[in-house]
Order: sequence, then C-alpha cells, then structure tokens
Amino acid sequence: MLVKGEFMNIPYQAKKNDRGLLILVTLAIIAIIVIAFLTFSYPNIFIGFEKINIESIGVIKIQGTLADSQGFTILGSTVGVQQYVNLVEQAIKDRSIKAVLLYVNSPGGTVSASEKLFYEIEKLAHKKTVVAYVEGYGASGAYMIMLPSRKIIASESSLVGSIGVYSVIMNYKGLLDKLGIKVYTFKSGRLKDVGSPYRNMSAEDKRIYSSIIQEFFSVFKNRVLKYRNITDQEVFTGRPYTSKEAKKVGLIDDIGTYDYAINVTKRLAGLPLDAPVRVLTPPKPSLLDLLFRLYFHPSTKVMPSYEILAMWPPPVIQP
Amino acid sequence: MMSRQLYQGMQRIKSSEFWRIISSSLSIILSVSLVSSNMFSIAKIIILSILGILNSILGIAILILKISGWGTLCKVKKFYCWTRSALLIFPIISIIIAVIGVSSMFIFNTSYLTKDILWLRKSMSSILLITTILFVIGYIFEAVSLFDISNIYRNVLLKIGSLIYLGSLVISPFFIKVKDYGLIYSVIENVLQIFTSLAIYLGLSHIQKTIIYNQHYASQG
Repeated sequence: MLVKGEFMNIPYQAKKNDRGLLILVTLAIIAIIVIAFLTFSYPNIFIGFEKINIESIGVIKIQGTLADSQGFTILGSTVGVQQYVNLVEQAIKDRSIKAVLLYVNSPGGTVSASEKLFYEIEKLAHKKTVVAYVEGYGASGAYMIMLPSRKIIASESSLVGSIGVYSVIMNYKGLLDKLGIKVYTFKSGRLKDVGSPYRNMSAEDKRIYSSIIQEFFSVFKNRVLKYRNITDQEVFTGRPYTSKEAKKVGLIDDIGTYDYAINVTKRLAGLPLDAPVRVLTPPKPSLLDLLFRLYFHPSTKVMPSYEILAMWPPPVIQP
Repeated sequence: MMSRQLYQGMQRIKSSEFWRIISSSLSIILSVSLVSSNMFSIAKIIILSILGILNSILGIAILILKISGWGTLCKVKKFYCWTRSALLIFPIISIIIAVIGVSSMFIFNTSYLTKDILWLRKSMSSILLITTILFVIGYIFEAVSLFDISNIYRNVLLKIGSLIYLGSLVISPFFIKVKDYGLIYSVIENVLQIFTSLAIYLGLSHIQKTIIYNQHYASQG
C-alpha cells in the first residue's frame, strides 16, 4: 500500500509499475493513430456534432463568374468552381441535409467549370431534393447548373436564360506589327496553333472555332431540352429573359422571394416549415492559405481566350 | 534530499503549466483575430505572425521547463527519465520530419508552380498530422507520469488534470482536422488546455505542500 510521501523515504524503482505505465503510453499512442486514421479517412463524420440527426435544408450560394480556379478572365474576377463542388459533395454526404436550395446569382462562366458543377449537382439531385433560386442573374452556365433541380424559382427582377456559348479570341497581330515584334511559331501540324493571337485568323480557323462552339451549344441545348419543357425556340438564340418572360417560355417554374423558395424546398423534401436552414460555406482560409496566396499571386492569372457560357457583355456583379 | 528534488522538479513542471495557460490564452486571441475578420491586411498578418512567433517561443520555453522538471524527477523514478527523454527526442524528430517533408514538397514536386492551393493544403495537412503524432508522444509520457504521481499521492485534481491531458492528446488529430470547420473547435481545444493546466498546477501545488508537511513530520520522528 502506498502512502503519502513514499517518494521521499523509499527510492521508487518498481519495474512492474513502470511496465504498467509503458503499457498505458503504448495504448495512448495506438489510440492517437486510430483517431488520426478515422479523422482523415472519414472527415465528414466530424463536421459538426450539432448537425447530426437534425433534418435540415442546406443552402449553397453560387455567386460570381464561374471558372476552374480563382483568377481573372475577360469577364472580370472569377470564383473557383472547386469550392462549390466541395460544398455539393458535403451536402451529398451529410445525412442531416434532406434538401438543397441552390441560391444563384451568376452570369455563368467557362464551359468546363459550369459543366463540372452541373455534373455534381446532377449527382446531388439523384440523391436529394434540389431547388434552385435565382436572385439577380441565372444566366448561361449558371442556368445550366440549375437544370437538374426539381424547381427553378426566380425573384421578380432577375435575368435568366442566355443559353448559348461564345468564344472570345484576342488577336495581337496588329499591335505586334506596329511595335515591330515578330513571332515565330514552330508547329507539328498546320492546325496546332489554331486561334493563335499572333497571326490573323484563317477561314479554316474560323470554321474550326465555329464547329467547336456549335458542338458545345448542342450539348447545352440537349441538356436544356432534357430537363425543361421549352415552349419557344427563341430561348436558344442566346437572349436573356426577365423572370416573367422566362416563366412563360418554360425556363423557370415560379417567381417568388427567397423565403418562398426555402418553403418550397421544405415542402418538396417533406420537411416541416420550421425545419432548420443551414447555409453551407467553404472553410475560411487559414493563415497558411493566405500566405501561400500572397506568395504565389494567383489573382494575377489572366486567361484571355476561353470558351464561355456566360452573358455578354458581362454584368457588374457585386462581390 | 529526495524531497528537495521532488519539490524542485514539480516546481518547474508547475511553472511550465503556468506558461501554458498564458500560451493557450494567446492562442485563443490569435484564433479569434484570424477567423473573426474577413479583412486581411498585410499589417494584420504581420502582427498576428509576430504573436504567433512569440507563442512558438513560449512553447519552446515551456518544453525546456518540462524537460528540466522531469530531468530533476528522473532521479526519483526511472519512468520519469523516459518522460524527459521522450519530451526531448520526439519534438526534435518531429521538427526534422517537418523540415524534410516541406522541403521535399517544394523540391521534388512542382505542383506549387501551378498555384494549386488545394494540393499544398493537403500535403501540409499530411505533414502536420505526422509531425503532430510524433510531437505529442513525449507529452503522452508526461501525462502518464502525472497520472502516476496523482496515484501515488492520491491527488484527485492532478488525476483529473492528467486524464484530461491524456485524452486531449489522444484526440489531437481530430482537432487538426476540425479546426477547418470553425473557430469554436480551436477555442474548445485551448479552453480544455487551460483547464487541464490549471488542474495540474493546483494538484502539484497541493502535493508540494504534502511533501513539506511530510518532511516536518519525518523530522519530528
């Protein structure tokens, strides 16, 4: 039996006791490795304890010009679509989220970014109720991503549609000639530098670009026809519509407020009207992210030539 | 003589716990300042970085106090020598691995040239996880040693403190991950740390009194 002050009277060297303590240390190390494995293999089980078992609707806010990465195109600053893809994935995995409201205020973006998000939302729509709500712009690529939704609702003064594709290729030939700069291009085939900004566009270049645009447009059009009952073919001319007109031609289902859209989502998901609403937001940047961003200056990335699903001219979007 | 070493060793560990309370409080301030604002000016980043560096220096001072404290207690029990060695060796291994990991990340992989922040974040998280596990092994030894002292002296406060300490170390990878999801987890971790350090500090203070009391008692005999 140990008594107070034992350390002082007897030098404590019991090997048996040390062995017990070592076993405790080993068990703790094993536990930490197991927890590390679980935490990093199944991150979603730790997202938030308060969210477990409370059926709610998730709101994903899609705002700004969509692009593959944060940067700058001729449309202005762009939002990296990956952060939205991550939020959609989070909504798919989170069992407490029964339905998702996509809050959209975007003029569209690049073909690849819009398509990436479209596929992800299509996947989400197969598993959960998805409703889209437009406040401001729900045009072009942004309209495409809303297509898999069960309902598209827009606020009264929104612009929807602008279904189409365009490509802007800047040509520097004239400027370079004025400056006396010559550019030599070595290529393996005659069309390897199709659309090069350093030479005048040939008829063949124009034909190829037109066919690319038509091909992208045909994919977009088929998606619209798959999901919407369009009553007027003018929709495919690329013109934007006000909410009232959009409803008439079948681009949207309803006109209403944000609260109305929330209630419609709850009703479609079979949730009570007092079910909680959770706005899914990307994680805030850590100090490390900020330092890396400052160091690498990704905001200076300019992409002048792009196949774009967006309204033209680009509307002014408040960040 | 043994009582003197016990008292001195505990005093150093107590001091380390006191500074850990200060360090955790500073961490709370840092986390709140970092997360609560969306505006990041260069000046703010510099100030926060300086505070962060100060906190790191404090962390090193705490570690030195701990190593010194357990080094003194080492004369009393063999396990405490292992604790001292673990507190010294594992952080060094962890830092070496961190340096090698980050260097090789930049030397052997050129993905950073494409400004892939996500890739960087993932790689850094993996390095952080490995180094954290290695780093906390020394502290696990310390928590178990404190638990041992609490058992010998039947000190409830120290027992609670050491068990929470051990528990918080075991779930530390969880805290690395969930810090991404919000400020609250970072604050919880630091509040837990403050509570643990306070319990250990008070527990050791009580034991120190017992040591002095027993010394008097022994001299009377």
